[in-house]
Amino acid sequence: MTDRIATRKRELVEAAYKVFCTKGYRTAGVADIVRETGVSHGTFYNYYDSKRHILDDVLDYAVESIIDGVVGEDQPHEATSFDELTDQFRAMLDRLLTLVEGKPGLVQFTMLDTPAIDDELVQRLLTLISSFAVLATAYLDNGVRRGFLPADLDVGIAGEGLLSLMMYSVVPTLRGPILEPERTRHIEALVGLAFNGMAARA
Amino acid sequence: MESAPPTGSAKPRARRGRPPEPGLAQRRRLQLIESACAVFTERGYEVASISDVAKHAGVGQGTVYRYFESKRTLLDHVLDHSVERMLEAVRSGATRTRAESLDEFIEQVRSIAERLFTLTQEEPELLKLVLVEASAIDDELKARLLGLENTLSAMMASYLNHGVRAGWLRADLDTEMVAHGMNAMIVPGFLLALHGQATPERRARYVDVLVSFVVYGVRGPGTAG
Repeated sequence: MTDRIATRKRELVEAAYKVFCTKGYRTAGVADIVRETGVSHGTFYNYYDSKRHILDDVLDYAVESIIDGVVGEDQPHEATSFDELTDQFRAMLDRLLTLVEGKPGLVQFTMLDTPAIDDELVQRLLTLISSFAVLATAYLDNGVRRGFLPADLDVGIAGEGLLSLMMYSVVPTLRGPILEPERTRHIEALVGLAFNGMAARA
Repeated sequence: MESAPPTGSAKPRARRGRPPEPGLAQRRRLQLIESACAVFTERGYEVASISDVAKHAGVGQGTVYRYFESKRTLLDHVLDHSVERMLEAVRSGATRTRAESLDEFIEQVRSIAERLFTLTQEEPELLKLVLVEASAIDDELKARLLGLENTLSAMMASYLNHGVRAGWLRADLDTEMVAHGMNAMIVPGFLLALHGQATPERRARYVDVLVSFVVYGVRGPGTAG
């Protein structure tokens, strides 16, 4: 019974996710979601009170799939050298951009539309972002523990810096797809900034 | 920025009534824009109405409409006003004197970061309106904001180019692309402000760490890596 409920909810959430990304949250309605899943309005309302109600679950789902897609095999404890960590970050940026390219509307939905809806959602996003920052920090922490990052690195704030670069990396996609060679240039510039900074070195 | 002020009749002729007070139109416009800033950020753009703006400014609705044709036009001006303040923060930190060494450059970046951080802490709601809510309202606004982001990046890139030529920034620095990355550093300050847990010490710490982050990357100033 509970399994069936979970499965049905999951279907509705996945459908709503698709609808919100393609139509935009504001213009999408419950009717679009039920059409996408092929269930009746009544079924929808058995599980959710409203479009706003399902949005909470959709956001969690969206964020989960972004995290899974971006982190992939590159777990925080794995890098054993500065270069390996650099490669991890590069690979994650690349996967993030690929994910976003495959789902136009995702950035608009998560970063722009959602926080504009109400303050509760802003708070929810902030909590999610904080958990991403904790994750980003874990990568740096690993580097400090293994000794290939400076012992005095403030991993908490630098982790937020890394995360901000990742979040910001998708902003140009709001203008349109980033094509090669710009795409590689974009990734390499952010990797270079995060790991080597801008200063010339002796 | 340009939106024609009410000019009245073009041909000079004898005027009746109160003599025009020089600068009144300008001051009134600014006052209305400031009221709109306050009302939009407090109530949210969607919910706020022209009558709320009029009430806040202590004028009649008709006065608001004499200067701005709609709530949406007013929002355009609110954005211009806010963006101008952000640009001002960047300009005043960067261009007073051109950095001639890495140390001077670091000081200027720090000064820009401090100004922007102060702005985010003083007016987190305004930034939320500009950076987030506005882009969700319509595509035209989104395009304008993305255009502004480009302008800001271009300013930053030309500033970085000087450092590359002078040799204290990396010769292989892709200044145009990296400038966008530097804009990203407003995000942590913005988040800190929205979380509402910023003490002056915490803010100073953020500025220190993030400046070091963009200047040296996570490897830090040492050469080990």
